[in-house]
Amino acid sequence: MTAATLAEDGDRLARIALVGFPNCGKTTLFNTLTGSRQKTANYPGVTVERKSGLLRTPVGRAVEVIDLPGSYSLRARSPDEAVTRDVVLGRQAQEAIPDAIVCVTDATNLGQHLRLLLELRQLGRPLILALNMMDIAQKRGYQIDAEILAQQLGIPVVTTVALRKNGVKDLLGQLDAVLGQATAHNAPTAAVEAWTEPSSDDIRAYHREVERLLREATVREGAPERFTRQLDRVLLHPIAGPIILLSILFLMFQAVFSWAAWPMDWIDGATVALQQTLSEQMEDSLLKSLLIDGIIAGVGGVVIFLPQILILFFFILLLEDFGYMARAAFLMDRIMSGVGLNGRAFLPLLSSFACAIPGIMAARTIAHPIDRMITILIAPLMTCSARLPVYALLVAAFIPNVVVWDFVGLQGLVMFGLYAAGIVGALVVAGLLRLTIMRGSQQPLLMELPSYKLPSPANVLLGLLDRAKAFLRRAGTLIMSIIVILWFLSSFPGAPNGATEPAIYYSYAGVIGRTIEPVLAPIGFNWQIAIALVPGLAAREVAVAALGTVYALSGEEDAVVEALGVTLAQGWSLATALSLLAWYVFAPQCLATLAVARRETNSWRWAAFMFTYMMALAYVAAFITYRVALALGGG
Amino acid sequence: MIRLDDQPPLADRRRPRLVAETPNKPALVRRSRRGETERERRSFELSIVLGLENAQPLSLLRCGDIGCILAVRDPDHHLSGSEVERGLLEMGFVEGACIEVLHQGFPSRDPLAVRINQSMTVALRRSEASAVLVGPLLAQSERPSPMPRSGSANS
Repeated sequence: MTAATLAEDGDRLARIALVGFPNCGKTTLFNTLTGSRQKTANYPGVTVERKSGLLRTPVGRAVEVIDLPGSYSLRARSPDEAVTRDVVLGRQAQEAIPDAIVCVTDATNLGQHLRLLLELRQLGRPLILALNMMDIAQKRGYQIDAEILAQQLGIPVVTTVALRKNGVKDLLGQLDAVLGQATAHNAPTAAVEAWTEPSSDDIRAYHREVERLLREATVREGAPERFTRQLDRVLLHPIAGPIILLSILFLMFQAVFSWAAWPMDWIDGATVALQQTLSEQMEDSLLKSLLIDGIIAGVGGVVIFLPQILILFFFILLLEDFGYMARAAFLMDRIMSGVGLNGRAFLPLLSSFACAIPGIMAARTIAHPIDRMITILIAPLMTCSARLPVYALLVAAFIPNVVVWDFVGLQGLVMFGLYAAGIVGALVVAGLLRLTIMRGSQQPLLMELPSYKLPSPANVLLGLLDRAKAFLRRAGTLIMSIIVILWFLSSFPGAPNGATEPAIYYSYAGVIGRTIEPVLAPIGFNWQIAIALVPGLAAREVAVAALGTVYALSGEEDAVVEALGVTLAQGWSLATALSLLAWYVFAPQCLATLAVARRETNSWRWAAFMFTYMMALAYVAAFITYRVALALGGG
Repeated sequence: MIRLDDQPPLADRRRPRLVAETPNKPALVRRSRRGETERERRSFELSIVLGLENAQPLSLLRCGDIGCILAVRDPDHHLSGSEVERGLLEMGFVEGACIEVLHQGFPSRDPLAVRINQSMTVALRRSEASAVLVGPLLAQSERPSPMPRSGSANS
């Protein structure tokens, strides 16, 4: 059902906003209210997502529900909270002030959550208080008189159980009543216009008022939660905690790395099969080349990232819903704050070992903009799986397979060194950014450790769907156009008659490669490498295939790689090979990553900055490697 | 609000060390405590300015310690109302609230996980925690209500 059809049989599409603390069950309530009739967009100018959905009230009124980012106060401390404030106050561009606000609170923690309600009540807008998670509260013995609360507050109060469909009946009923009155006069009230940030004394006054209200309305106190406490004693234990965290991360990493390999092979196989079928059926023409090497390769190049993104986000959403992510941030905070980062930066960086693209997307969990920006900027320095084919080719061709010590081989040692170089590079860059352009006092860590609860499958599924759509629609289009452009560069113009070199030599990519070759000569790259680097921008591993093309090798993929190893070992010096390895540790050899960085930072400037600093780092690293290797006799 | 003092002693763990059991030593002695930061030292000074003789910064409490918040004030800001203060207040660190230190990071006991009023658990770094002055647990009637404290640190 679309917004249009819903609105047609109702009067006008009324709009309500859900406001509440993080972890108050707001998203679950939103999912129950709207089901799958949701859509995600972006608020203009910021990277905060606008989640909205549709519902129909018992009398048939169509209502658009906006799920605002969780917020502890209207005094916004992060970009997410700023959006909540601006929407509630009607100050958000292209967004009228909501007809009514539903303040969602955790019934087991009203002592804290009601403070936000009092802030909202100050605005004088139509407001409903939802006492959520009422089932858990009752189980723990809480008895709260909703009628007394409603009387004292002067607003409707409903109890909800977000996990159950009929747990929201009262809320829907109240919505009808409130919206019936509200839609008539939907202009910001004077109180909204006059809103100012609450001072510290205002906040203290709110706390006093909450205490008074609860003294009136509480019939019986519940028992404190024991399960979370006991589980935390293990999960946050100084020694057991980090070990468990590392095991979970290892499992995740393993899953992203190896479980994804199967669907990725499948997508790759399907792409190749489709290309082959088409190439047999069609006659050689420009259209055929565009279709096969441009568009199909482009779509395949986008979809291939999906398995990793889905698996990673499956784990992230599961752990987030369970309440473990805040614990992971707690455990990692000490280490990450050493380079000026937040504990939450650990997971995006770790995911980047599989692929920087889901890693950069996972940085959304970091609330503070500077911390998030640094995390995004250094994520591509983590050695992603696409570097492996290049590493494998060069290491196998140039590093002798000798045993250095016991069962430690030299090849493995070099591989380990390449990974370590990426990590050390990332930490150094993060530290340097903190000291230079990303200055600013370190963000305080004030983070709620929510109670553990069983993850809801619906939440996880809807979240996954959301991520997949966001990636395909937003980053996907950009990645695909880049691949098509790179196809154009490497196929035009075609080779002249009587060409002695492979066709790519004469193409624009070849021209670019040969033009930049003098710049790359000081780091030991020949024109073959220079040319292969251009299509290699599509994805790092493409460089291997491109080298095969440049050296005019043909045949099965595996055979090409094997032959390439032999050719390279004869044609290149050891210094050149090491230099190329160093280059690959740091170089921005993946335009898809830049496209996602552009998408997530909402600015070409930061994507350009990422490209520039990585390029500079790669050049310097390759230069030093080449010169040192030459001096040591690796020429 | 659940009242900590009404709860039976937790049998399954060591008896919590009440802040009140810390001997009420003069400021000079307390200042020499091991691992104390400059900020925590200023926090002690602030507690004396505010007339809270037996208060100590939350950041110096150990796992299992329980107490009552006496004042929330950034020791590096002369006046009340700093960003840190408001942030802490919004997360529930308010005068009169009972707190219990549940976990501490390893090493250097940073960050801390603190349970407020038996209902909400908040993680914070020692740097922010030093803006919370904690005193011994009091009976409900004696507890300070969330009121701004008069007197300023630069006097």
